[in-house]
Amino acid sequence: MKNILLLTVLFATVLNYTQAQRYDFGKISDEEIKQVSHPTDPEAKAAVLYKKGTVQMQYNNGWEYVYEMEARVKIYKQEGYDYATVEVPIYRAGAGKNEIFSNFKAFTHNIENGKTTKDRLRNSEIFDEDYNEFWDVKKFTFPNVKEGSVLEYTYKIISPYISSLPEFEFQDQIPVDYAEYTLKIPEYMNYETHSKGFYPLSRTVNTENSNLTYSYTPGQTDGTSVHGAHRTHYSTVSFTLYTTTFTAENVPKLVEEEYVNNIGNYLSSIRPELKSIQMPRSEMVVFSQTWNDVGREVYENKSFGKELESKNYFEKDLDPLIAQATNNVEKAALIFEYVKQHMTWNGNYNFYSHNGLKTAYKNRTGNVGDINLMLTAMLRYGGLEAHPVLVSTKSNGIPLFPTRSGFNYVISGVELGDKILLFDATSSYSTPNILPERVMNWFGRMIKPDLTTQQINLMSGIKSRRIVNLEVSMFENGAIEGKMRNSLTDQLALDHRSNYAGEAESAYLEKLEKKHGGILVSNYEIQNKKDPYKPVVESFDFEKVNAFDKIGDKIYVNPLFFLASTKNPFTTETREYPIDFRYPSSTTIMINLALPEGYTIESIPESEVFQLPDQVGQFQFMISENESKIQLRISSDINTSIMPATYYGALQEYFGALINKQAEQIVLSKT
Amino acid sequence: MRLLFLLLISLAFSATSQKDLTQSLLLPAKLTENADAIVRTHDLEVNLLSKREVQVYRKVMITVLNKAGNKHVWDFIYYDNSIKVKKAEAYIYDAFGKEIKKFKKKDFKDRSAVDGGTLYSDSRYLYADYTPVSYPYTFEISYETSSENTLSLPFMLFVNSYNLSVEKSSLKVHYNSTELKLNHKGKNLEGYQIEKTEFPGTLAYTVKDISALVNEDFSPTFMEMAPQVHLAPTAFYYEGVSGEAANWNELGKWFYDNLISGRDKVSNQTLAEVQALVAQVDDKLERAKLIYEYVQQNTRYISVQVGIGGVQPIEAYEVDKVKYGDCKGLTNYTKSLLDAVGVPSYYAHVEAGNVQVDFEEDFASIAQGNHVILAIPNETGYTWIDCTSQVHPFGFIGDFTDNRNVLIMKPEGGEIVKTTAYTNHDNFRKTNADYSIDESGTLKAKVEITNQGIPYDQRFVLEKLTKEELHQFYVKIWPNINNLSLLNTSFENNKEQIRFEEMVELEARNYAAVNGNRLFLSVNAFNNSNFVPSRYRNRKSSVKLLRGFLFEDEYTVSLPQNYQIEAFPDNVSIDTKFGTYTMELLANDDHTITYSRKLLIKEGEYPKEDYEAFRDFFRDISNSDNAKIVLNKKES
Repeated sequence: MKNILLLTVLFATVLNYTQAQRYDFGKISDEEIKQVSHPTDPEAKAAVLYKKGTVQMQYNNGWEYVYEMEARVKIYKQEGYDYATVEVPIYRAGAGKNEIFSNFKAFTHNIENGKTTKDRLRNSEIFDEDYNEFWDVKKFTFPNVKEGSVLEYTYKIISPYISSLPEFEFQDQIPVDYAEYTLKIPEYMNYETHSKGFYPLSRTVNTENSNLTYSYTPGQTDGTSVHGAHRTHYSTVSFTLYTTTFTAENVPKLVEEEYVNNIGNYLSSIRPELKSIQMPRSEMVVFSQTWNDVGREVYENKSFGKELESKNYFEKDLDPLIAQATNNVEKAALIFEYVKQHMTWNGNYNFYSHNGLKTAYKNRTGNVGDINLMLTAMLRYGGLEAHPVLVSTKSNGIPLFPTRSGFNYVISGVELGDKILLFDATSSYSTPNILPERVMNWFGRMIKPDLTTQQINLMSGIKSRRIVNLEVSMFENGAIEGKMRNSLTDQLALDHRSNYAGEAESAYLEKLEKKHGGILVSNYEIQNKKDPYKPVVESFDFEKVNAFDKIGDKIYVNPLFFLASTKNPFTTETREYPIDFRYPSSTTIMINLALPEGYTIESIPESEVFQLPDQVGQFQFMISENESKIQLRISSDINTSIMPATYYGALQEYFGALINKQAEQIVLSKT
Repeated sequence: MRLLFLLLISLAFSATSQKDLTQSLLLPAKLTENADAIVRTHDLEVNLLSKREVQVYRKVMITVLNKAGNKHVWDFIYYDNSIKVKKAEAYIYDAFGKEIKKFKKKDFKDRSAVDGGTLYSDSRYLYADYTPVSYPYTFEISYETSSENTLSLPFMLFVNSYNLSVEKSSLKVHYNSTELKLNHKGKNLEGYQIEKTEFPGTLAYTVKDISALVNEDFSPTFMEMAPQVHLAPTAFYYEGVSGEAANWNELGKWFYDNLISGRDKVSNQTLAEVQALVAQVDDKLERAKLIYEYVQQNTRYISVQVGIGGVQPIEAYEVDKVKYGDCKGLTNYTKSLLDAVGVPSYYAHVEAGNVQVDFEEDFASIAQGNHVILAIPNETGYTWIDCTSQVHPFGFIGDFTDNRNVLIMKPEGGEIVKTTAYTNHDNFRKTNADYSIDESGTLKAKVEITNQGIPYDQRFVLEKLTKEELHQFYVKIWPNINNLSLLNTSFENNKEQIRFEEMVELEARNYAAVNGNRLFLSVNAFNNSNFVPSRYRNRKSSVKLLRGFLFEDEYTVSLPQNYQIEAFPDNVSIDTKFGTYTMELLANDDHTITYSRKLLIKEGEYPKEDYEAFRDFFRDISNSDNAKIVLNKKES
């Protein structure tokens, strides 16, 4: 049977045999101090010459990790002075559970008149910002920083929060010459080390023997005890210490690009998360290692699974609503709308309920967990196959491996026949399967009542459409007038509603006029402004002076007027990361153009079609003339949410071509 | 039936006549126009018990009409080590005036108020975290704070923001009239319903029915339009130092004697270095320039604001040791070094920012400034330097502190002085380009851009950018040029003349649109304005142009040999009160044309009725800038 383990444990590891280290704190080479620019990135304003993180475990009334961090930073230019200020967040949950920051040392090294100088950052110059009830921030800035300075610092954090170890980043916005992260973990614990990023890391594992002296008191039911019950025993055990070292060398700076969902997803880093723990004479405690483990663990937390079961707080309100529904789809929609209308999201994330669903329901507000678990509970009460789906939002990054901490959000998935409909009641403009942008981040994980999990694709497969109809009449004096109708569906409609929901019509019209090259708008009407199940349809009359060039007895006119795209969104020459379009979309523009009296067509652009490889996108420009009228139909389709970076060259060409096409002019001459 | 109806009406009346501000069902129409929220009442009470004790009581009740109105809710209380929050509570009411939530002091969240640009300060705030669940609702906060520091008193903004109207807003000040007097300054109070009471020991204002202001482009700033009252006691205390001052002269003197004087020691090593640096130079301004550059090379800006350090500069020897400081510390350090080489200079308090804000000549208070610069006397006035910049030329302050009244602290007293103004023609950008277009529409160009005055300030950072950043920069300023590729860039930063030159070689495919046999060319490739000011259906504020500019462009363009000119835009000349514009296009021969453009924008303020004309001016410029030359392929 079980022993009550470890009143105190004296934890002693055999000193590690240390090799001559490549990088030692305080030992700055001449080369480093004299370097004037980075050898491989001469434009770099600063560089990390090296950084090392080491984690060791110790026992002190419970397990703790000891994280030691050291780094050496070179400043090349004034613009790199920001790297002379460092912030270290320290978590503190309450008495005895605070992280401890210690062993701080920091120096600035300079060369002055041919001699190297060293300035110490005094401990009194560390500022301790009491950020909020959970976090302190240690902040410090180096003295005597100049172009060419080498900065060094080291500190230690002791933390009882061993379920995940510090995330270590091997990459930065400046080059990192060498980075090393070492985990020294006794055989009793098993950490999964999740790595992400584009830049490869090398990994070595060493094992060695170590000793642990600990005390324990056998439990009362322990019949096997031969030493007599309830006495404290001391014992020394040998165990294996696993030392895992991750290294990376010459890591280039991380470059921000347009159309990237979250640059952090591509930053090379390691985040170890506890998978299991087993001490001698006790049972193994297993944490997540498969998706099913993650699901079970989350479900068994009382702020999740239990909350899904309780229904007494809403039954009375929901019964009449459910009674109205004639089928399951309708029922799901009624419940979804009810939750959207009853609850307001307080802006906080998390997949667990904060203060319990009952309280949230009463206060009519709550975090994501409160709202979408409540929705799931209600849908289940209504007899639907509804399950929570764990999500990692865009800003949180992509959970590539089974992990609890990788998720920060939950939505609800309903199985209807062989289809799954996704619901997020935190946004009032969301509809089934049309989710707010923050949620559209690769895959989610649905947790079923039997505690198995299923991967759910969160990237919208639905093509959002924009259809524009333009009736334009041209006048010889250069003016145009006409009518425009603009209809938006799905994600495009959701974006429109969320962007302009709170805005007064007059303010919106000013933006609309500006966006369309300064047209004057009148008789503006909008349909389905609030009803998310229907497309947003705007229609208005417009007029504009100086809408085209009239030179001599010729008129030169762009038939797209203010609707032409003029800017290639892809301006950088190369591309590292996938291109995120967020969702597939299609734009169709139909124009009926009435020519000014007394003019005939001299030339018009040709109809043309451009395509992206593998049918990922297509642009069509179709034009026809008919006496005094010209008809134009332009369609532009992007058929996928995300494209690999290998498409970049083709995309750049494609957008270039369609912009040129849209710049083409019609020439009219006076009869 | 009839009787019952009457009864209901009278009940309704009695309900409103009680003036219960917590309900938000019945709101006057003139206050809802353009408003997302309505201040039902805002009462600020300042009790200056002595020059060393001030109590502040504030109650703000705001009805929020819609989601956009949430940002107007006053749900926070700022404090720091010297301000104690004595009481704090908040209530939320639904539309009917029923209380739906209450915050006691312990329910407020406590946060650090250190902003991004500051390493550390002791500023904090309490806030009541509430998520509204329906609209309208009413948020009421009341709190009391006390402090020993009376140098800066709170000021009253009777309306705090755009799209916010005010039913009633009041300020009440009680002060110890045996010990001190109270200076005060009201601004923008004309045209409002105001009651003012003033007698020794008391000052009170009540303002009623302020309609919501709307934010329009090219308008004066909110602070230039909003009614407000500022306060300053003639005797005060600040972090261990007492003082008396009724005007700028006395305030400057107190500041100099108590907060600046005697903080000028630097290490002997530094002293020797700077003395050696200027040994060969006699001219005072030349010496000052060398010292300024020395400070720029050796220090950097780091902001730390704690206690008296919020107003007093850190001692020069501290800056000397760590080589960083905030605006006060770096200015005092520079001043100390200048003193050491025999150049007098004056510490100057200023309100910094792109929009010029003047210190009030007839009202002295430290609270009017947020930054410190240095004034060095010259033959005609002062040369100004900003010691927090490592990159600005000596004597150039750019648009951060230009053209405004500031307070300089002289040993004999304070003085209000205007900083350097950069007006109309001073702000000059000249673009010379030599470019060719081939028959596929490709543009090849050599461009030279000269920047002076404020344009210098906007561009001289270019020499610090990486290749990729430069690419992004030119893509941004030339949105009309697609497929831009930079072949070569070089820069010349003439810090003596304060002139920055850009030399750019570039290429762009498909710049001119090929259309069958025709080629369409927008001649103005490098200063093409697509900008037209927003249209307002009902312009409310005057038209304000903060700074004037002069832009000159001269391009020589080579056209492809096998094309001829089919159409050519007419020359344009526009003369308005806001500025002038001319565009001339000249065909030198079949294949070369010269384009010249000149745009002068004059600073100034004009009545709102001029807004349409102002808009027309920019629209005409945009039309002219976008006019095209049409080329036709020659029959061969």
